[in-house]
Amino acid sequence: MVSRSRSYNMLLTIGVFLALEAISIVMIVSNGLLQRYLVMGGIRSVQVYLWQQSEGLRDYFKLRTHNQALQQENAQLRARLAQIEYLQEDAAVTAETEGLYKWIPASIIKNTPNKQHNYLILNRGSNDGVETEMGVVTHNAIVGVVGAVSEHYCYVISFLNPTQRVSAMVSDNSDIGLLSWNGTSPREATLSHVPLSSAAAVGDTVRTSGFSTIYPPDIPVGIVSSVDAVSGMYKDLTVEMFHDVRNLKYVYIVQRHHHQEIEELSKPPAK
Amino acid sequence: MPARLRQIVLYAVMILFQIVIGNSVYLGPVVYICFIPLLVMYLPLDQKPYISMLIAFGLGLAIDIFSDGVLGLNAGAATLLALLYKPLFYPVFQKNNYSKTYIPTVRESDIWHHLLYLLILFAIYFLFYIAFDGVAKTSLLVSLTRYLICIAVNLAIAIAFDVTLFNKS
Repeated sequence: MVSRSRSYNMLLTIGVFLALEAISIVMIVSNGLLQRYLVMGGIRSVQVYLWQQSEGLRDYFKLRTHNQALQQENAQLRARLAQIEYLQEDAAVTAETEGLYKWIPASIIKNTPNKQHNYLILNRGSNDGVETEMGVVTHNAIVGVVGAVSEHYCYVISFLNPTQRVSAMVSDNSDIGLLSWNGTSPREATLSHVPLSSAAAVGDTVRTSGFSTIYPPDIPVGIVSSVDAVSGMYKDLTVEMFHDVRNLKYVYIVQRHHHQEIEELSKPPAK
Repeated sequence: MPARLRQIVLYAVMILFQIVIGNSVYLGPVVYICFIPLLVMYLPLDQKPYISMLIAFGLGLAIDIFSDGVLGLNAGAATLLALLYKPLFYPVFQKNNYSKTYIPTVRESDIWHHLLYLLILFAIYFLFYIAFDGVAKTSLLVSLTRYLICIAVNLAIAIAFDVTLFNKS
């Protein structure tokens, strides 16, 4: 009788253990953050309100820094405008290359600062034309990808997340690789899958390649700080990012026009 | 205060502490401060294993929800620990007769056995936690570094916590 009860207890223990672990793993695999954001929408809206209030206060004390960043961005935009005007005069820019992207300015309400799976909440939602899978950038940083959208807000999976990969290139020689956060410092990323023959060197600028419908091309994101040869046909480059995503306040949500058409064409043809 | 009530109060305080620390103390993306192994260690030894696992799962899930973590990470690691904390207790402490409310604290046992037990618990906990927190996506070296740093930092905090909270009669 005692041994029967003991084996029953053992079976119960194993059963409960397997069931609880299965539930945990399903939650982890189905991306817990996003899932929770959707499930707990009501709680989130209250939290967003509170964050907005506290961020407002924090912004006030950071006005000087923001002002300097805006001035810097303004100067770079002026320089870019001058360059475009020069090119237009030269008839080099055609209608095809203009207005390829839709740009929505937004500000960050919530930014998880120091975790492995970081995310942001922006003050733009479906009412402003935001959709999932839109890119979030600044003039010299990749911020992330829109993961979920509510009416007034959107949830962005930060670039500081091990799941994020961005197609980027070394601007001096156009070698393409995959840029991802290395999980240690928020200012450091790795450009992997760069061909072994690449002449990339320390100090070269890394830019977005534009080989996806999410991020526009030619956004400078950082400089190569070290080149590590890895076995096989590729090498890894350590990239020091220009901006710490954690300190950003203003960003742009971008989407390439006709992106759905491009994605449809990218799919393998149905047999 | 009765021992069981004291234990419940202690649990509530530590969960609250964990949530506050998780949301306000930032030591970089590598370090994760976690009290769950301590909480699991304080679960009564005479409790049925499946009840311990359900309690641990609930604790882990509560912390996942309230401290901006990935849902399921702490819950899964805590469940695994709740299954193993009792079978590990006997070989480490070599103790078979204990009271129903026995808690393996520094005061109750010697420091080396206590340290070894905590080390094993943290090693198991962070093995699960870091393995499911993107070991396939980050390099093995980064994951290993993170694993060792997490164990060292949490062990130091756990000992400090243990000494201050339990070293009084």
